[in-house]
Amino acid sequence: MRVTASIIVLERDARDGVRWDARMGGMRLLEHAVARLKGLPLVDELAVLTDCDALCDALGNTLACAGVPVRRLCPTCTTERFDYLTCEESRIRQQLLALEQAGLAGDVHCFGSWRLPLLSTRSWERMYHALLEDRIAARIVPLTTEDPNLYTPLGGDVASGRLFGVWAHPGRDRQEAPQLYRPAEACVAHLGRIRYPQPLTKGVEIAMTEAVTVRTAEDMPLAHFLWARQQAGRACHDSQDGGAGVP
Amino acid sequence: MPTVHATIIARGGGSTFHRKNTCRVLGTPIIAYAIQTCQQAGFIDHVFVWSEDEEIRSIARSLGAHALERPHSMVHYYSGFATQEEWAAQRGRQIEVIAGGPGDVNVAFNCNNFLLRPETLAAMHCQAREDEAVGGVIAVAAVEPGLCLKTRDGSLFPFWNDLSVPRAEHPPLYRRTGVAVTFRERFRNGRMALAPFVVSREEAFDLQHAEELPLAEFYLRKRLGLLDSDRPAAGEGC
Repeated sequence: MRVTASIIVLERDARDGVRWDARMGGMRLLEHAVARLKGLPLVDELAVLTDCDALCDALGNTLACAGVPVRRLCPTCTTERFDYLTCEESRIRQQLLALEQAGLAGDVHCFGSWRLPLLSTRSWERMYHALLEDRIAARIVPLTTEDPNLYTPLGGDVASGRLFGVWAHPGRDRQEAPQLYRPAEACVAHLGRIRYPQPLTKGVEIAMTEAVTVRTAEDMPLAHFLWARQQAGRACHDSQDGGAGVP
Repeated sequence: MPTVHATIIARGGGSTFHRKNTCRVLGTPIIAYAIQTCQQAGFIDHVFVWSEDEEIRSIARSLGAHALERPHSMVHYYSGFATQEEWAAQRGRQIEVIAGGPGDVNVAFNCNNFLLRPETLAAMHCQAREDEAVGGVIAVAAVEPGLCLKTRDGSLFPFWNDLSVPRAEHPPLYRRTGVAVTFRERFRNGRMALAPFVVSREEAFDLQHAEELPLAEFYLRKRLGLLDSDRPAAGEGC
């Protein structure tokens, strides 16, 4: 069985205000995400897939020296965002084409994101095991729970002063509402089952602190704070048992 | 002048994780933050804390709030021993002994939302006072799209989640918090709708799980100017 992995870096992601080369704790966000997946021993091959010229030209060599090649995504593979809940055949075909062109075809693939620099190796491992222990799931994504007390403003503008319960109802306690989840931008996919019609996606709950997604500059201080706490926790663990920590 | 009462209902055991309301963030129990926000808002005459737990009541008293003893039969939402109306009636009797009567304006403050600022609470009161068409205001915060729910077989189904539509173009979604300012007379006259008062996601932070404590610590450190970008932050917790 061949397990491959990739970190997807799209030019359009920078429109939100933060780029893959923003620094956190002395390393680029991309390098944090790469390190987490590189720490997963079951991955046979890892690469960065990108349509960014800057990444291919500059950092590409650096990452390649660290054993992680940078491969260019063809334009047809970047017309849509990588959506790990989709059942649309065209989108899934696009994702599979990207992997084939990058030489990452295999049996199981881990799709990573530089915007999730705190997603731990252990969570990747849990998703991988969850996929292979489920007989029908085609994809596993990391999830966090979301407060179901949700409303939308009548007329589309909150200034109207009136809210309509979307996942709530007057007089009903929020704990009665079925749980909602927020999937993070990562996925472990079974490349055989994903070709079936209507492939099933399931989830593995992860800690809220690991699911922090860096989209804008405002997210950077929080990500840095939580990363620093992870490091402090790991330093404590390492000093206690004298062993090497797992990212 | 209308009297303003704030009521904080705090369970000793914690509804979602053990001893949540006495959990410390930057050395201060969460219930204390909630009490201090009500006191510092500047428009509240009495702060009442209704709890069956002596530690919580002791914290309330130490901060100058009124500690009301909550019967054990009125702690669990679905116990079947008392209705919500009976809960309110019980509190009302206790409040009458201390304050001489119910407040004209009531502030319901959920401890989970302990990051709400006093000035925001005051602004909520101002808006509620000016908008006589509604019974009061409730703090809400915008929620990012991109959710899902689980179907019967455990698979995920997208909810408010369409990647072909830019995030900013998804219809707006808001989460109601547990903080509201209401006018008793308006409710009695049938005006019971609560107008939304938009607050930042940080102020609408809702502590549900122990794993969220680092997030709370971050927001508090940021507010107090205690973030150190160079050194790892020390751990905090219960």
